[in-house]
Amino acid sequence: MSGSREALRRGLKLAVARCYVRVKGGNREPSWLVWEVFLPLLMISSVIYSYRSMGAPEEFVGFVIIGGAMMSFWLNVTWGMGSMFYWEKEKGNLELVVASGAPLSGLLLGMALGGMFNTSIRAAAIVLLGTLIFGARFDASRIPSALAVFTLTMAALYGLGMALASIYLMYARSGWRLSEALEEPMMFLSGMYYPISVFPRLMQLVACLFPLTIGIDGVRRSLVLGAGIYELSGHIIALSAMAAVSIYAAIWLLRRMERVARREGRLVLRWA
Amino acid sequence: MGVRPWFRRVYAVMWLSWQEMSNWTRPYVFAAYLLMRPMFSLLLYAYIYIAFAVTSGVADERAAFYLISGVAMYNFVGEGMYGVLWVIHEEREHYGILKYNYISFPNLRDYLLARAAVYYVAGAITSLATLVVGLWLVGLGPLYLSPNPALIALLYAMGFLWSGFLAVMASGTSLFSAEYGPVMAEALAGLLFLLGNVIFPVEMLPWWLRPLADALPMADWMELMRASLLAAYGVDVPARLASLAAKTAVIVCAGVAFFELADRKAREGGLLEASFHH
Repeated sequence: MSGSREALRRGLKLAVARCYVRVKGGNREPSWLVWEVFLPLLMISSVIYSYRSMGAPEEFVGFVIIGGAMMSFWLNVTWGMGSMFYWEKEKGNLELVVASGAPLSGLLLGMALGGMFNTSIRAAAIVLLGTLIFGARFDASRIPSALAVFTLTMAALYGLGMALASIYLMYARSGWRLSEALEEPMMFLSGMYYPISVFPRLMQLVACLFPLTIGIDGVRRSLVLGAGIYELSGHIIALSAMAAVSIYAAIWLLRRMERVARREGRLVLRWA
Repeated sequence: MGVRPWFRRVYAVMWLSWQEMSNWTRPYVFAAYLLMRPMFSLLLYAYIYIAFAVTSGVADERAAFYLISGVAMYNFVGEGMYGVLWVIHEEREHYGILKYNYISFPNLRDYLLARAAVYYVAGAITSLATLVVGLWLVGLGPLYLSPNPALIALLYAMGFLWSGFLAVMASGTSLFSAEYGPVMAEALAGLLFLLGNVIFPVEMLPWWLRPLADALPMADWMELMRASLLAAYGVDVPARLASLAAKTAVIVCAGVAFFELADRKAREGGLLEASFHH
């Protein structure tokens, strides 16, 4: 068997193994209901009550629920994907993976697929419960256009997550802090609780550099405001380009960072 | 133990906490990091008001002050409780050093509070900084305030007591669990945000949640904080202060008793160094 085919085989096996652990470990006990559904709902509820106390239009309820559900993917990308090498190093798994000869990209792919699966269940639960509790109304006939935007958003987001993971491979504890530091800026810039049309024009342009912003806006437009696939063509083109760029950047960065990490002995360096 | 050695130990623990919090980078990066989260958090919530004002065309000064002061002052409680709640999980699960710190400072409850003191100081600074920026952002400006410094200082002290001991109680529970420690930390912070008059009045809550909101000191503390910042806010300060003092006393007593029990059980069960590799 040629070297590249063998690497591909090992990479895929590693991806399946990591995905299995992620899905199994993430769902084997019901604590995820508290951590990933109940907790986001607390914040979502606070914001909905705040809008209602001010007398804001009811469509904001749908905006907040969609924003809150989509945000769980970003949190999964930073904490589940970005910080993954940090965790694997801390627990000593990374050196075992490297010793197995399988490419690290397999690990990231498995984590991305498992994380996406788990987070989709949680996001769906947030939307369902949010709708039941607060009576939000969504246009079910626009689910296909919402799904198209959603799928492209996931490709771009998880590509970004893989790129972040490569950086964290080098910077460990600083990377952990970066994940923390990125949380609120991303919540704000993505327009988690309001349409980004309320931002000044320059800020709207900056916000649109992030796939999550475009994704949330696209899903909201389709499910809350009833926009069809043609009206969302700008979102689809932008997200397709972002997905291609982020996946390419992830592959390039992983190769580069892995090389540097091997040279500087950072693959097994803990607490750095 | 004498007072001087005790303070020396508290100082040493605060120094450790400060190092753990900040030594991963250069001081100016750390300062930016420290302010970045609360500032963006402020922007996140300030835009709730701005989105409402833009779409409705209505500018409501009182609603703007309510939202900004709530988000700003929540930083103090949120940051401080985080400082208490993550210690057990982090030191046992991440670094495996809880047992050694326990030996060097043989009172886990005071150790947790000393570790958190630095976070409370950081929370107090960020709460004031975000308040000023937030008021400017919604067009009110800091001159809108008529602060009562003595009442603000008293409320910070009471806030440290009730939220610190509430977090100590939750930490006592997390001694028995590797998995649920962080969940409890986030859940407690989220509950206080929802039930504490932070970004909306608790009167908006469904009837079945009101008793819980009334039992926690957060709602009183937040209303008093607003009254201490704006004399015309319109709160019965003595009555609220009495209510807050009573709830604080109950939480401190319950925290001391509960943590002592949890600590004893954890030591008997050998849980101080039992890492679960969550």
